Amino acid sequence: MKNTSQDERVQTGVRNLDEVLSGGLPAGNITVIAGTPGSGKTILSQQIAFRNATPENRVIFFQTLSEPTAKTLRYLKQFSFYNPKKLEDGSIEYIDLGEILRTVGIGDAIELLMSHVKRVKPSIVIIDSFKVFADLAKSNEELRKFSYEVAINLMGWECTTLLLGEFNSQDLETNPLFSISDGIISLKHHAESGEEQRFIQVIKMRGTNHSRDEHTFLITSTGLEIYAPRVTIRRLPLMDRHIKDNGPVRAKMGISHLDSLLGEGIPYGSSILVSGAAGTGKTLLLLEFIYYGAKKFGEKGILFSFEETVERLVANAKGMGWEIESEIEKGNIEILFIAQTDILVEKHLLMMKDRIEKLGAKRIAIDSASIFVHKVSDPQIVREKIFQLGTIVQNAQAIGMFATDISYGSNTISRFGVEETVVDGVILLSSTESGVKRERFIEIYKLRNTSHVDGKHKIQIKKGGIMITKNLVKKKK
Amino acid sequence: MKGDRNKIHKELISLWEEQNTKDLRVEQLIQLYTNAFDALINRSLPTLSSITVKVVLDRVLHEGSAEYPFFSQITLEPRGLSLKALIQKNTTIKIDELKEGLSYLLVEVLTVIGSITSDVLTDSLHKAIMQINRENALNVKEVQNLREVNDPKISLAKKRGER
Repeated sequence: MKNTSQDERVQTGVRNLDEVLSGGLPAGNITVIAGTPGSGKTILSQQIAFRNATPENRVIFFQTLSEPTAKTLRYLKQFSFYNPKKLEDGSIEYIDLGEILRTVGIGDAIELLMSHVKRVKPSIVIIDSFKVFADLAKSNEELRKFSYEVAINLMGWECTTLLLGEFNSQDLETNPLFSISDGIISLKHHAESGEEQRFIQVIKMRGTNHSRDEHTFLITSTGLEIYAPRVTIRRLPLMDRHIKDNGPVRAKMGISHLDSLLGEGIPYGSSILVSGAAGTGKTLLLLEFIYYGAKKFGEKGILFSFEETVERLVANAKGMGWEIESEIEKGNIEILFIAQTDILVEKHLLMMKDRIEKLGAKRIAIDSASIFVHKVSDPQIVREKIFQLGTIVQNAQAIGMFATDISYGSNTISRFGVEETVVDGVILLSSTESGVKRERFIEIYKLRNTSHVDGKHKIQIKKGGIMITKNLVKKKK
Repeated sequence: MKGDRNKIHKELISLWEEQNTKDLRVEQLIQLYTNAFDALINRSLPTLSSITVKVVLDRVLHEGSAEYPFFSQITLEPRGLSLKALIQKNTTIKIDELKEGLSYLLVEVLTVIGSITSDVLTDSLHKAIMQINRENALNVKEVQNLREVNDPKISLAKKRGER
């Protein structure tokens, strides 16, 4: 007899799905995976099958009339989770019921299914697709009875069951299968932020405190990759006793007189918006922040660029006389370029989180946050994504500098008008014409919990970096 | 894992067997276990419905037959398990083996029902088992007589006075 218990969860092997489910699929649950053709149902179920199948915990994959098994197996090979040994040793058994079902109909289907279940004694049963039974049933009543009996039989054998089907939202209300299932996972795709995106949503999952949001996902060579920043990027409680007792540890920037303007320094864990029109020096400030962090303070830094390539940034740095290449070689600095056209906000949020954690970065620069979220049309979502960036910075106890573009001469301090509300500070960069020359300025517009110097200060961009002319007007609390 | 999840049931069944199975003849033993299964089934039926109980018994019998081949003689009837077939064939079954097998079946029924209901029924099922005692089983007649009772042809003939 296989081993299950009421609190046991089946790990899905799908990145972040267990987090969305708050721990995995409850063992013994019957879950419907609903979605249109091509939405990823079969891949998701196969990923779960290969993650869990062992000679002790076997998996039966019933193929009904939806797709010939040979075809399924052929495409399965592309995925990294595919392991032929699991087929050889019988951990996973594919059973094509297509032809037999056409002959026996729904009447004898349960006996047919259960004869295989009794023989294999599987921990997981997958039926792809269960919709076929709805087509074979002569009435809704017959389908209800059949679904109920299937559910009871598989429950009696304590099988964790996945029933796949091309169900739509109307089916959720009318198909009796949905009332007997313990869980419903919906897969769909629709256009969002100007792009066709895939979404997964756990509509129902008995026994779990699951996320109810729609989460974007991609199908890659590893299978489904779910990006669920609302679940996976959460502010962690401050654990550092020293900070709790003595207040925040503060960082020095190491840039010209910027530290004089920043008073005691920026508390670690803070996110700062660096706002300015094109040509005001945002990219340079970010690059300098990263470079001097490594050079002067030995702090590892990472710069995510959505505009300039790594080569151009390195060339710019060299032009300023900074030996950034040597810091990159030493592993103190990492620069990553992601082309604007390739940006997938949720995917790259998690990628940034991973890279920051892997490097142990204490300085994080994003050039620019406005490009990063430029496909998002809803300001509330922009706000949420910037907040999630801030959360990554806070959890890493690093300093984050997020560039944002504003129009020249505008009175706004951020591209979307919401970013400044979720960051800890704003540094404004500006420029004005002065005769035939253009003068640049820096202003600490906002810095939470830190006394800083008020007003605009003239800056010059010279070899060595940004030079700030001291203009210590008055400190602002 | 399996050891963990059926431990409480094993302990209870061991205790119940200690109190009830000593010195019983085969047919008494079978009657005792029949009563125990009936108690479990009667307690489960109103809550779980007959189809669920049937599936559980079917599963337990199917798996039990792999370990104790003589269980393939047991039939699943609308009102529960019929163990009487074991009596008629008992010449080949050692009493210790029979006891061990029936004990296994009880534990597995409790384990599966416990598992699929998150042990909601476990306490009441345990109580139902503990209420079954050997007294009712002691009255069971010898195998020959029991065969007569169970064989409709013999019973009918007896009623008509045809011996």
